[in-house]
Amino acid sequence: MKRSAATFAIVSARLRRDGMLLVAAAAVCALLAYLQRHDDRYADLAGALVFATIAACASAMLLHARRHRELTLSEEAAPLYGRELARARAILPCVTGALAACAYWAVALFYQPQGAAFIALTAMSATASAMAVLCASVAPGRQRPLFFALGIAAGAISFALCTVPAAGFAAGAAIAYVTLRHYGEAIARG
Amino acid sequence: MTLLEVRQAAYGCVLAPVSLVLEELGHAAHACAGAPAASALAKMVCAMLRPSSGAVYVGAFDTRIQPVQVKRIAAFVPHDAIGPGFGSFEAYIEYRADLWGLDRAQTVVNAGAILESLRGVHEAFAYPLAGALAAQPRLLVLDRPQAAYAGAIARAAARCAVLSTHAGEDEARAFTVEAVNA
Repeated sequence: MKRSAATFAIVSARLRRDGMLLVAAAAVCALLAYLQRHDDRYADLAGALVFATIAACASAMLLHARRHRELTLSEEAAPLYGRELARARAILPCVTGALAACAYWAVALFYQPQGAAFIALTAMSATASAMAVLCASVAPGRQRPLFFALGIAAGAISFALCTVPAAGFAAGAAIAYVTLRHYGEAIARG
Repeated sequence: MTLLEVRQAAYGCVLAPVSLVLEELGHAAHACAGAPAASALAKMVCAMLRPSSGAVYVGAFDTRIQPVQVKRIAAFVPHDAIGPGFGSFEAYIEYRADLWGLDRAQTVVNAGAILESLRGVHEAFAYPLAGALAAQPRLLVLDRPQAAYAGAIARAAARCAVLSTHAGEDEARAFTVEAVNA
């Protein structure tokens, strides 16, 4: 119970400060969906992947920018294990990406029906991208561009596997899982 | 009994090897070669940074191996003032209580009493101090604290050891003089 209280405290403190960014990301994705062509479901998917990935990566990069120093220092000073802190910090960028994806599809669905598979695929891809960029934020010099590339590649991999959405979802989940573990270990190493 | 032992601990090219020992309830003001070094030393002692060489022991715990246990003993107070983001003192203390796994109501009461003892300290600096002391640490680590508040800090932290890091000899001396005169 106390560990979930720490997670909730971290997420709610960051949400109180960056909640408007989350809303803005969703609004921008919805607007871009409105402006997007909708005669091809794969063009819809590509648009959703691109914009949700951008929103998720931006949110992840902002987490480690020199903002809200009192929050970052409090989290680092608190007696939390690396994996606990990693999970708590990862929630907001992942939710931002998933929400941006859902906002895009909410508008796109007015023009062309889509299966839930594409929506789930986009949300998972955005989550994987967010996690990879979080790893990039704490990675030492030479590894950083590799993790950024992985964050971008997550969307490309999901699009490449879109004919078998379950495979794309699994690939995104695998990337998210591996990068979350790596992020937790990087935080624990200090 | 030795509470803190720093054995030739360094942090890259930011902090040259440092050695120091602090006893239970002891006070020490350590001068470093600049603000980044002082900040790095304070964070290393609180297991927020891993030393690139050497070792830091707080109680019986090595900060490299058991950082969580160290963080339960040592409390870090940052140099910068806290921003207005929390809205109220109670909200800030409840946030810290949740992070530290403490009872919210009791922590707010403890922190309120500590804040009372920090009269004369600007609230932007008093809140993090009260938040750190509310967890009842055995070691309070201050990153470049202001000398003007040394007396108030010494009174509020009477039940724990205090280590302050400073960007130079003059600041360390000024802090020590103020604390002694209080």
